[in-house]
Amino acid sequence: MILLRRYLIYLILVILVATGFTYISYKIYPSIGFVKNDIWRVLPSPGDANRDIYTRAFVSQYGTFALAKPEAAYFSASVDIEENLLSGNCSYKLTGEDIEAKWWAITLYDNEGFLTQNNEKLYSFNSENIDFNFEGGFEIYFTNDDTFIAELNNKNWLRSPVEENFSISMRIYLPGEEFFSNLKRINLPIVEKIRCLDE
Amino acid sequence: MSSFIKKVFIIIILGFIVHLSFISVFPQLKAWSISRQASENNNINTAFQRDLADSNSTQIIRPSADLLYGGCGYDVTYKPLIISTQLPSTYWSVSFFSQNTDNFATINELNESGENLKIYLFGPNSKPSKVSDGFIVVSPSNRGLVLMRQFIGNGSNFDELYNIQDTLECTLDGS
Repeated sequence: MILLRRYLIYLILVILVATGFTYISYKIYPSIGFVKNDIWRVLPSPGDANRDIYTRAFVSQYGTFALAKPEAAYFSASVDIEENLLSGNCSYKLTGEDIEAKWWAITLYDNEGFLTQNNEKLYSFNSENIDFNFEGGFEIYFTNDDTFIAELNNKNWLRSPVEENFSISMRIYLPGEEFFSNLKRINLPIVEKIRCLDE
Repeated sequence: MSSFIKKVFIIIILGFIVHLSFISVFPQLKAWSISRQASENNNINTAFQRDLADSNSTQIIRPSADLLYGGCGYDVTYKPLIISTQLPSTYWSVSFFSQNTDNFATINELNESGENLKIYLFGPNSKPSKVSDGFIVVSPSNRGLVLMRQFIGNGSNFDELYNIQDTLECTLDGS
C-alpha cells in the first residue's frame, strides 16, 4: 500500500512536470515559432508536413487545417504600431498597398478568435470587394464608435467588439514562392490608433 | 549522485517525455475530435458543404469569411476515394490533411484549368493504379480530411459557388 502510494505520488509529480513543460512551451512558442514583421506575426510553415511538433500542435489548436506554403500565408496582428493591444474602446485605421497575390483578405476577430457579431454581417475585406484609393492603396477602419462611423467618408470599415481586445488576420493566397523567403521584410499594412471612446 | 537528486532527475526526464508525447499526439486528438463530429453525421467518405462563416461559427478558431468550404472526412483503409467536382472561375483549391493535420497535398488552378476535377485518393499501403481521367494523391494516413475552398470575391457569384459546392462528391471506388 505504501509502495503504491509512493508510485502514485511519482506519477502525479511526472504529470505536474509535463504540464509545466507544456505551459512553458505554450507561453514561449509564439516568440520562437513566429516570424515578426512590424505588427504582424506569421508562421513560415503552418501546414507543411515537415513542420516541427510544436508548430503542428499550435496550428491544430489555433488554425486547424492551415495550408502549406506556397498556397497561403497567414499573418495576424493584435497590436497597433505603438505596440498597444487593439482595443474595442478605440478606433483604428489600417493603411496598406495592394499585395501581389492571387487574392488576399483582412479579417477582424474577437478576443476568442471568432468573427465579431455585428448587424452589418461584415467580417472582412478582400482584394476584390475593398475600395482602393486613387494611389492604388487602401484603408480599413476598425471601430464600434457610431459617431466615428458617421464621420467616415469610406465604406471600408469593420465593427470591432465593444470593450474587448481584438485581433486581425491577413490571408494571402498564392503569393509566389519568393514571398515566403522574405516574410520579415515584405511590405504589409500598418495599423494606427485614431481615437478612443474615453479620450 | 544522491538518491533524491537521482529521483528528481528521473521525474523531470519522464515529465519531459510525457510532455513531448502529449504535444505529438495533440493534433491527432484534435483531428479525431473533428472527424468524430463528422462521423456522427455520417459524413466519412461523404461530401459535406458548409455555409459561409459568420459570428455563429465557433467550431474552428479564426474561420475565414471569404471562403466557401466543402469537403469530406475520409477513410481509405480498404478502398481509394474518388473526389469529383465542378470548378469555379474564381480561386479554388482542394487540399488534403492527414490524421495529424499535415497538409500533404493541394491541387488548385495551377494544376487544373478545366471545368471539372477528379482525384483518386489512395491509402498509405495501397499501390495506386494508373488513371487517365484524374489526379492521384496518396495519403500518409488511412484517415484524414479533404477540404475544398472557393474564394467568394466580391460576392457577385454566390449562386455559382453554391451550385459548384453541391457538385462535390466523395465516393469510395466501386461503391
